[in-house]
Amino acid sequence: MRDTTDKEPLLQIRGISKAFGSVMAVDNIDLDIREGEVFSLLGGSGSGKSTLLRMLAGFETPTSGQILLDGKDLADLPPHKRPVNMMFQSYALFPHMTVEKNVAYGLVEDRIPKSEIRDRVSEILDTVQMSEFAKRKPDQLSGGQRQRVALARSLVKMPRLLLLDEPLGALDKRLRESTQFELQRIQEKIGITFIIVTHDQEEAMSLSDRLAVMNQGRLMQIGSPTDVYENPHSRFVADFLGSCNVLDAEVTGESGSETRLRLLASGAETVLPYALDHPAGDKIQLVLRPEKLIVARREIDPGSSGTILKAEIAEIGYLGHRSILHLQMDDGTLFHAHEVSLNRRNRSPLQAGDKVNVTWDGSDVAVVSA
Amino acid sequence: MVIGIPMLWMGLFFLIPFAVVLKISFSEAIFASPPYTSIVEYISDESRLSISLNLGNYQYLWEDELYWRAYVNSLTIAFFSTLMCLLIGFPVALFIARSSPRWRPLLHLLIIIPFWSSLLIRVYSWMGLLRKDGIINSVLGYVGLVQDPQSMLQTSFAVYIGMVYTYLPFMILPLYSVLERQDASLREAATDLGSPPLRVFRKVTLPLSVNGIIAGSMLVFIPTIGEFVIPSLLGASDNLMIGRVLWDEFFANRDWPVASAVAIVLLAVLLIPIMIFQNSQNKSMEG
Amino acid sequence: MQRNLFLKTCFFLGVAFLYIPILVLITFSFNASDKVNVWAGFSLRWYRSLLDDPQILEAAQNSFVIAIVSATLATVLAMIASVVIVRFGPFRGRTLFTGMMSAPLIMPEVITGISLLLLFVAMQQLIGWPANRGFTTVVLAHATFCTAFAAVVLQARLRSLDSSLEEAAADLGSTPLRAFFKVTLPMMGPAMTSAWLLSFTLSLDDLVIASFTTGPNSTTLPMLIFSKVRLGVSPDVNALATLIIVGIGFAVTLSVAAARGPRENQE
Repeated sequence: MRDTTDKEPLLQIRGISKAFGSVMAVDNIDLDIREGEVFSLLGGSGSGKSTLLRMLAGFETPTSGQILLDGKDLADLPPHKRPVNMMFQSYALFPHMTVEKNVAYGLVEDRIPKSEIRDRVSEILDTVQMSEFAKRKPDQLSGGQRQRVALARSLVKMPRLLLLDEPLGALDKRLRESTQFELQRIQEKIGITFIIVTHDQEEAMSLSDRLAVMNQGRLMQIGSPTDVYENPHSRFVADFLGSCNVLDAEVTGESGSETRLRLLASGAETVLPYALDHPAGDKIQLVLRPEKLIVARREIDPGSSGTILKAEIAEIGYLGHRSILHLQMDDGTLFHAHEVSLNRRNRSPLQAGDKVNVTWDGSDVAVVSA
Repeated sequence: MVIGIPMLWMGLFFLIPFAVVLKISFSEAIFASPPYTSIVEYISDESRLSISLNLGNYQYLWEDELYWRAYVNSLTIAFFSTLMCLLIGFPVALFIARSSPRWRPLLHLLIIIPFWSSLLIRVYSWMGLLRKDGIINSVLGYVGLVQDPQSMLQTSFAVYIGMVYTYLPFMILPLYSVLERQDASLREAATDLGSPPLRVFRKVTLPLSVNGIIAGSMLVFIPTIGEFVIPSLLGASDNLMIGRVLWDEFFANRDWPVASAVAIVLLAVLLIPIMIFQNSQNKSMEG
Repeated sequence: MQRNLFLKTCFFLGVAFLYIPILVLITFSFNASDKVNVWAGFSLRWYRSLLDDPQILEAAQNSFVIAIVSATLATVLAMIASVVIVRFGPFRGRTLFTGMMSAPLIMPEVITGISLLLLFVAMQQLIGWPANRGFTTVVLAHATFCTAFAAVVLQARLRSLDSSLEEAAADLGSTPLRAFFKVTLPMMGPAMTSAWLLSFTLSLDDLVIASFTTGPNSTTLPMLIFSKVRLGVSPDVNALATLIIVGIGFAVTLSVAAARGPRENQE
């Protein structure tokens, strides 16, 4: 992770809203983007992430609020004059132009001398490794190649800010992973600030320095990928960033830097190794990622949570690199846990029907309000 | 087996007739039924087939200025009518294509209805408007623009009005179908890369509409050249178009061979535009 | 914004241009006076006079029968042709065939008319059929050029139909022919209605081709209107024209609704 915290924000979004009729697509969002960072807007369809992106590009006019780029208000700048470029989800490559002409388009519009255009186009095509396809038309390219051309076209103008709308969305899974690294490499080489819109949490987490989770036009949480994944502030964010087990609990007491809780389903006691600002008697929810659960047939030591729950393995889904365990807890609830496939010769792996003990470490628990 | 039927049908009733027309264009007119000579004759006392190709009809077309003028006149009128349809039709099609999806079917229907409506009646409706005591002159007179109203019928103006009026939907519909399919993000991409609105139109919208422009122009240009009803009802008798010449040659003069020759020459003139049309059709089917 | 205003103005001027003459015509068909340019109150007298005109009634009947028969023929032919073009791979003569199917769309009517007439005359000399010109020859001619138009409608629909539906039917045990009749044809229903209505109106409208190919006893409605109109504007033609326009407008709306309906259900 690059440290970008000490820089002045490149982009300041101040109380921006967009209403379509009576629907608030974007609802009073404040956000700072720092120069050089890769920032992801993560959300489902209809979360307002694309509308926010389109307001930055200038294709939608905010109902209220301000967008400042380098401290200057963008409101009066029409999209074609903004120092912001966009890579479209569909790539929007001009079908009647060659790769070269597509990439040169923005430079031609800026009245840049021909010789300079030629140099910059060939340089950027080199960077995205598309030089040999310069004379092709978009319909003669594969999906991955088109993606590179679209990237080159939006980068060649050296915008202050590059907006990427689902940059990997149209690629198949295998291509996606290699392209992800490719995108990171190019961003690091060129140093342009990226804002990525995506619905894919893995994409957001692996690409970005920081990300924001959006829902119904609002920002639910902003932070680094680890921060948002490990410490979700809400049930929604917890669910959106991967699967989780949610346990209803009641605060029973606090002692120093510990919080004692009672799990409502089983009545078991559990301990969090930190203080909560919830008084005793408050109902809260605990979020436990499946990979944090420790599952074993034998007797095990309780983790720092001090809790051991009994369960039976209902089903095992084998995924190769790991297995997903469906646990029928003795208290009637259902848990998901992960078991990493470590040893090929493991003679006694867990099997459906096994009676098991389940525990976890208290520090792995995130708390969201009920 | 069944699949051969439409091929046979279209071959019999569309392709072979041209051969027949070609054949008769080489015969001579006679006062009989049918009113032309056979070009193939079996002369029994000499036991041989005699084929006499009579080029007289073509020579006649070549030498008589009337036909020349009619062909040139038809081409001119068709060209300018097409141009006018394009200039009027493009913004109309663009407006429909860019309107909200909720309104689009209704606006589209507004163009389809006249496209299907009776050509004859639509041309006729202008006769009432353009006559000396017609609505247009009444209105102009009432406003005070015209003191001494003249009939606008039997003028080239009336023919152009009739042509544009009749064939405008033929231009709008293919343009619309091309414009509607255009991906809006292409225009946004052009804007994003720095093009102001008019340049987006010139560099993206227009080049991507070429197939629609070609199809629409051919759909107007080709039938306009051979148009009969409009020049007969609205046009002057000294400003002939070839469709009317053919009609008169056939019905008034009963000179079938010359009428056939007129048709063959017209077909030859139209061959290139028809091929352009077919080509653009094939392209749009693929794309 | 300014550009939108420009387009909007163009659109409304364009639509006004397309509709005003027809609206004026319709208005004056209800005129009590026999002067065609002075409004003298509402009346249905011209509509009544239509009913008293046996010539018009006979021509209308001719036109309707011809239109119904030729539209039906054209729809069937176009359906087969579309299946051949869309579903069959490349075959010898495909280019010629598709060309033959679409050329009548743009062929000037005078050429189609004269060539069909000369064909009928030649056939009569050669094989004695059709013995004389009239109903049969007009139907043959109309079915030919309507097939081209109907094929455009049907091909578009057939292309948008998922061919995996037929494959699914085949997978479940249908022979190709049964798959076509049980799966494809029912889904083509709305498009076939649309194609039929289009052919029907085209046949009902046609003046030029009918004039060439008809005989003495089969005057069609457009031929009758044309002979009246040549003499000038007359109020009873206004009334007749209004009836035709209203009928066609109705048929078009119906056909568009038929073509659109199922597609919206899919979404």
